[in-house]
Amino acid sequence: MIRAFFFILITGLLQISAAQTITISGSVSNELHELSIGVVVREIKTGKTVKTNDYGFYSLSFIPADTIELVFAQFGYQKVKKIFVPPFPAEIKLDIQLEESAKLLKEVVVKGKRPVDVKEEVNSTQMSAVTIQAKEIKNIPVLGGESDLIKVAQLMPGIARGSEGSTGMYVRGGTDDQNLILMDEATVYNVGHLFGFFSLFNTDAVKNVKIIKGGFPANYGGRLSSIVDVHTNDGSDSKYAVTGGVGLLSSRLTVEGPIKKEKLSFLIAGRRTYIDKVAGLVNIPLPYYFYDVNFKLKFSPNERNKFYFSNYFGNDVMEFSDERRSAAIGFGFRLGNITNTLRWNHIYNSKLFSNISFISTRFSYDINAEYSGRSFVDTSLNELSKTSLFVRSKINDLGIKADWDYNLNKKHQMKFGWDFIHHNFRPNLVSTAGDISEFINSKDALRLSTQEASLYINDVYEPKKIIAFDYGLRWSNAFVKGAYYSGLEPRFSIRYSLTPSSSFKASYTRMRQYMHRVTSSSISLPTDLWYPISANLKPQTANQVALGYYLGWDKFFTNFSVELYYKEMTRLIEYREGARLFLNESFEQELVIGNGRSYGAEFLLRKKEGKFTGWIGYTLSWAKRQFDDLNKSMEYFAKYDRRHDISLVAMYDISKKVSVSGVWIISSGSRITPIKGSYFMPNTTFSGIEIIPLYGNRNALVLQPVHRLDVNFIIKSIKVRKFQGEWHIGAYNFYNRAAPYRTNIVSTASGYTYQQQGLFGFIPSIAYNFKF
Amino acid sequence: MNGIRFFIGVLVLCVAAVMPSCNPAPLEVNLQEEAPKLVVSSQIIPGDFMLVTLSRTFSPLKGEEQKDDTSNAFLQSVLVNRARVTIEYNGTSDTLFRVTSGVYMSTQVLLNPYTEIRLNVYDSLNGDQVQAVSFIKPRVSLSSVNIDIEVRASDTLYYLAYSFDDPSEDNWYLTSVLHIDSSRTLAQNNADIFSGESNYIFEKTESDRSFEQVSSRVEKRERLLGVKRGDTLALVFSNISFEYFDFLEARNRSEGLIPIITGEPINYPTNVQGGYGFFNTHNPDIRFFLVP
Repeated sequence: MIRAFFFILITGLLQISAAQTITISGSVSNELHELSIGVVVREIKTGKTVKTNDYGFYSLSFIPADTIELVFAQFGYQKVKKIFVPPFPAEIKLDIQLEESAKLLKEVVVKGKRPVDVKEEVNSTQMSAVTIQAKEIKNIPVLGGESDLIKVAQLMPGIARGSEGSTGMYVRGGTDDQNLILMDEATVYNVGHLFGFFSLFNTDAVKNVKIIKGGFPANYGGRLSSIVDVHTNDGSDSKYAVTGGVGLLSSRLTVEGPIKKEKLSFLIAGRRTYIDKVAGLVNIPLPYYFYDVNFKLKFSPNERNKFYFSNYFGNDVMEFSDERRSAAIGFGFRLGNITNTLRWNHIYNSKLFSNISFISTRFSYDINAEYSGRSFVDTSLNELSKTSLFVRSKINDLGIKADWDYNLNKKHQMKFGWDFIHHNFRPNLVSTAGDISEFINSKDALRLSTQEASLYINDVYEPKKIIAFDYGLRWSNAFVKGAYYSGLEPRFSIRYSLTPSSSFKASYTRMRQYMHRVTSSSISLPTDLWYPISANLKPQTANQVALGYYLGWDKFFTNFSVELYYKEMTRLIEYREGARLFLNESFEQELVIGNGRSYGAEFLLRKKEGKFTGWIGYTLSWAKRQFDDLNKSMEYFAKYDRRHDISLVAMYDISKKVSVSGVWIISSGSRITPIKGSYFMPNTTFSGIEIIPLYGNRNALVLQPVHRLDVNFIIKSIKVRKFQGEWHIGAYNFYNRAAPYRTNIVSTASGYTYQQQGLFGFIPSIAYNFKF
Repeated sequence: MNGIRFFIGVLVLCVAAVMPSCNPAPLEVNLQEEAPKLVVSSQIIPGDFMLVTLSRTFSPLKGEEQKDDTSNAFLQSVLVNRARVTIEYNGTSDTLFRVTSGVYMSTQVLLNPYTEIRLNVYDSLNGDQVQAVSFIKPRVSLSSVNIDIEVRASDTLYYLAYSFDDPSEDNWYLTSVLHIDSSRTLAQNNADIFSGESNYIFEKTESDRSFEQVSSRVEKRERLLGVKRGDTLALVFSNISFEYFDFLEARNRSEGLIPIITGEPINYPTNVQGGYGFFNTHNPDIRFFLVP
């Protein structure tokens, strides 16, 4: 199998193109000179198409016809067309700047010109992937009026939501810790603020996000189920710009501009919730807030070299204290992420591009509690006691990553590279004093260090216009205390064009995961810790096959896709019933190992251009687990198994100044393990009795279906000089319907009964955004 | 500035007023509850008798109702009074007699280690029957029991020190300390059974694999909370089976704040075929003493 793979790779590469092939390369940026990712570059005459890579660079090789007609297109921007006439040089360097399409929206609609990316999605070899632009994220209504890219991602087919309002993502039957979340290439371990109800991504700083659910290219690895690759804005190197917003829960401000024009630019974006301050004004103690800051520098010393420094830091902070005559109580926590990425982009020539990144990531949390007063352990004591608890956990990553894009010839687009990450885990440093030390001992944190390294090569081979192969191999390795793990991860995709606007695709991928998050099966907490694999705990693996049919409707600027997938996962981790995870360093004893499989179909109809945009996504899926130590060894449905899931997202520009957007979702209900009875049991000495619950099969009960409508109106003010303001007035759960997440026993007039509780009802929101 | 504060205050109050009224109405749900099954528990009083209690499972809705029921009528309704209960061991059979509601007794229990005792229950009212098998674990006796007293400036602290010899094979221990408050009447102490209050000072289950001692002698010292001079304490020390240890561990895991927050379902293991509960035959060492 592997020999055959290399044979195909080598023979493919040996096909050298004819001498008349020309190469056009360069970069694409927007009007603020920020490099644009995923811009479709298409030569009309030959149909040859590429996208700008993650660093805004493209390289296109082809045999030209009588003239060259090159089109650059991206959602939200005006298309740019360049025409070249003979004689053609062997290499053409062409940098392009795109302009926002808002000004020409009407023209686009009237002329009905086909946006190139409708076709590109059909003709690309990549499948099971969606890209969401910042503009879409900002316009879609979400909880509390706070725009949130994770919440928007959850509206795409194949991505199940966790509990209502949370940022949990369950991709194609996987778990939340099987998603690799990258921000400017740095891994983000905890994506949630406010116990996961808001994501840490400030949408003013986000350029775009690419989500890959299957058909993973070989340059990605480390998680089983998805890659969420978030790129932040670079900062304009030509003019100063300020954007911001004031909402009910938070405010944010972004400033960007040149330090030295077209050489050195910066972007700084900050956000803070102020519900604590607002509540304090009316004497309501709410000692919680979060903040985050994105900072970026871009340095372009010359055309061939660009340097970027990205930094993110954010914290969730709670500081509570209460002092009375007899006792004083203090409680607080601080948890947050810090990421740093230093990147160097280098263009060797028109065919070879490289990116070298140095990355550091840190996630940590501190919890502290203090009490002074009468002993709470032994209330009969007279002596006053002082008790304190401090817990700290953290994970630090240091990594280096090198990637090369090589446009070998008109038939081969290659990527190759390597990466190395050193993980340093320090879970559960505990310091106690006073009464509590009778139950919890002080201890230094464990020191766990692991290293991950991988090497990959990937090639997109297009022997003919109607067929293309995307194949690659990733060799991943992990060095842990007492063990070394290594594995090959083949990746393969094929695209076969049925017509110029329809294609069939298939893919096979294998993924390996060398880390996991220790969390309860029923709820994720921000204090959940990541741990590496160990000598006893082997890496998880997933094999996934997917088939898809893709159609682009030029006339309606619309894409349609249907994908079928089947995924098998081995060595999955769950926790035995009642596992004690908090401050437990022997947590491996609480683990049980099993397998999972998931399969389903995903339908997506998406319109990206015009006055009316949006999508309808439908997922039909099954997600199952089998663990020898759970559910009497019988296979059971995963917690976030959702048989049906429909998302309808619509955005409509009523006029130049007024837009409306709406989201309607309907999905199968949550799964819980039902209680089926109770019994009395005497205690161990027959001196008392207690009630013991009896549970049914794991996750056997499906609660009622969830459906909800969110709406958002955007009203733009008149532009005064450069200042443009807009009001966002919206409502979450417009018709106030409960989205059940648990069952409760409640007393009613007719006696006790079961009820399904929802979390959030109708929540209005208002926000004012501006830019100048 | 005051105007802004006033505006924000009004806004917060408006939001605070609107939010609760916007809580969505909960939805009804029908849970498929299991038909009642027999529940077994047992206790050996060394040298005297074995008790077996029988009850039935019930709807959690009924369990919720009984919290408001102080008459114990609900408890009486789930106890099984018309059952034939037999135990078999070493080729002999003994039919237990009912001593009170749901409680059956045998006075002829052999306590030879490693004896297999088989329990058979037939509920003549419903026709239900269950079986269970348990082995008698060798009794491990306490070598010493003392109360250490530490007098401080404003308080007196009490510690229970006890020791025993841990046999060479794998063992699991259950240690319970019960407390009879000298300032309360016997009736008050006994009334805790249905009130949810516990008269335990502590209870712990341990595997001897967790012991750090080099020799077979194990010495323990535990703080006694909430006791005072004149109180009566009972120390119950048992060498239990792994299966019963597992059952008690499930119970321990279900207690505390975290399982309540996470709503984590915990299924208790059982050795009762066709029913629930646990039929155990450990032989405890029980010591009573007065706090000096």
